[in-house]
Amino acid sequence: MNLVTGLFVITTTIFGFAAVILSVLEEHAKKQVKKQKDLVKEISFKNAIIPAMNEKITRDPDIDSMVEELVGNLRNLMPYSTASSLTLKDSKLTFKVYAQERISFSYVKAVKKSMVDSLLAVSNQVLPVQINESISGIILDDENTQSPISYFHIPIWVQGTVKGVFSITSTQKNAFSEQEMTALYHVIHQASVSLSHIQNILTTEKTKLTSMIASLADGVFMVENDSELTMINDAALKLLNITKPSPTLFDIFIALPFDYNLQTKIQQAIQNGKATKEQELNVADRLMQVFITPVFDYRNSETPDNPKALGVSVLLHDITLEKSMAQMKEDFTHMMVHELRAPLTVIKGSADLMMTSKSLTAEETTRLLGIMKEQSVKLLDDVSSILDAAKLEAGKFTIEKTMGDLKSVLAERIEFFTPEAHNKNITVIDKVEDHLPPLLFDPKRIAQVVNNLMTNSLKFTPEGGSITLTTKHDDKTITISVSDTGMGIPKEQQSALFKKYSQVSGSGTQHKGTGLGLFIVDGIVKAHGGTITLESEPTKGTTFFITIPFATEELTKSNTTHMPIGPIQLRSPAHPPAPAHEESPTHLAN
Amino acid sequence: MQPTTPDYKKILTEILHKQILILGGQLTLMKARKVEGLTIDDTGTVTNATGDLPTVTTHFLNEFRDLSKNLVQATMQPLLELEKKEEPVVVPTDQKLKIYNSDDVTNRHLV
Repeated sequence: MNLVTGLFVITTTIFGFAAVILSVLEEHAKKQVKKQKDLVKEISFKNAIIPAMNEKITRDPDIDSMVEELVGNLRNLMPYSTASSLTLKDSKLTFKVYAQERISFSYVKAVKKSMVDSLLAVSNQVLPVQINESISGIILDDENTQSPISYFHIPIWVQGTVKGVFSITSTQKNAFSEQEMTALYHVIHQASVSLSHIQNILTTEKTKLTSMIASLADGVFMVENDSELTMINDAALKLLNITKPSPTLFDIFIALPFDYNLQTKIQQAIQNGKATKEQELNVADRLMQVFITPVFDYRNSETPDNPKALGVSVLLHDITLEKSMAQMKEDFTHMMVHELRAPLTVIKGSADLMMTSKSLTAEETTRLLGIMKEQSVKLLDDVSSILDAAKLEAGKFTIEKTMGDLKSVLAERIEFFTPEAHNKNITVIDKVEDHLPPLLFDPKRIAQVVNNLMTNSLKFTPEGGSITLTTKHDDKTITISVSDTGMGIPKEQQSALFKKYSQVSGSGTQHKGTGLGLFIVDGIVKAHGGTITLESEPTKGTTFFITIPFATEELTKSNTTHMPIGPIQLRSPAHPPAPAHEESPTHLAN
Repeated sequence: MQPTTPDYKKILTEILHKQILILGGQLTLMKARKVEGLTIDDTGTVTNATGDLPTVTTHFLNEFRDLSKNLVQATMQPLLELEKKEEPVVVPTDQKLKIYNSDDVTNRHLV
């Protein structure tokens, strides 16, 4: 009996142990299976969500769209009560909560507070007080007194900065496993990396574009959402005369003419769906063309035929100079027609008279021939001026320097102008130094320079005045100055004086010339390696100073060694050589 | 001066309290309690720290690095300074001289 009992006990014990061991093994196997299932679930979730999020980010590289895609797929990974995001964008804080269960408003409030605390702790920055909120999903039930029992936050880093927090909550205790939470971290991390990458590219492109716009000579600004000025370049600020550091669209409205309604023009451009162009607008004493181009968002539009308007880009093109140049050219054409036609008319008239009148005396014939010659010289001078100006512009203007006596050239010019000055009761004063060192220069061209300056002085000096020709020299340079007691040149016109077609305003029609004289003078002086400056005071007179360097040692050596006979043809730094042809100094009227 | 065990406990506790605020208590404690040598109560206070504490610190940081490197970099700076660093390899001065002494080379050529 005892033996039977003993065997029974032993057998029972063995079976008992076996049952326990089997139970433990079964439990372990179950855990393994669950672990495997969880792993498969996690991998499936990652495989589904990561490409979907990447695709979404590529289409819309924005933190909100990234979160939206995540929330849409989250249910496949874990059950939850709310999925929320708190994002910081353009200094605006946005809280979005998606409720998966019937929770209360105080539950949402608790989630929001916890997320704000999280964002504050991780970003260490002051957050905007105003928070935009949006709640979606299951309708809230304020009678539900449940509060978030389980929750975790995931800070979102984009381009190295915290841009928000994603949060999951549950009304259940220990609702989320470490594996699930870690998996979600990894998913968000990968999406953030993709988003950062795309945003980096966009930032680079935006920087390039901004830099390009900033360097434009044209003014450009962008108006979005009807009235928000989102970008304006320095050129636009300058053209509109706006000095405020952060201007608004209102400042632009004020800067534009009173009768120009930019707001209406913007609306018209958007409605018509094409760029509009304002021909000429007078803004702050400048003439501008205004181009308004609508900007559409084709990506987020419901239909491609009806795209959503984002705003407009406005381009201000300053045409003041163009207009002024066009006016100058027009004036020049009129002036040239007159300047060329007048002597030709005189020549033709004289020739006609000589041919038709048989009673002309020899004296009268000689006088008519004299008139014809005088007018021919004037005509030739004007044509030469046009030719010289064209050569200067084309970089083909050349001078022929020889080592010569400047004093004799200047003395000839004084002698030439003295009779004409005497007729006008103007005194020509000779202050040319007695002993001038030899100078390497083009005598014809320097004579042309002095002619031009003295002709101008004669034009603008009233009766009883004087014109003084002076020289001063040191070891390196010689300065020729032509000074008069004429009407002077206003300060604001002095800088434009050496430009083509430039005329001193207020000089009267009797003083009009080709406007090429000083342009050519400047070119000749520069070709000598010299400079021309002026000092002038209205009603008191003007002095032009021409400073020319003496020949350098190297140049003198080169002259005597390689080109002992004849002139040295020198090329001005900016001008290639061309054959010289002028036979006499020309009179260039300014 | 080398930090003491109370120093480590204090810094780890401060970091944990901050992480609870940032990540939430459940995840923070799960991660921190996986680190051998640390005993942490439910409030996130480190009650005991044993073993080689610089190594423990590295393990602690690695748990959170697994979540986010940015998070560690941005919020655990005091702890990063205590992390065990690799000893730099120092070349003995006399060996350097042997290699770079130009006289030796010249003499060798001359011989």
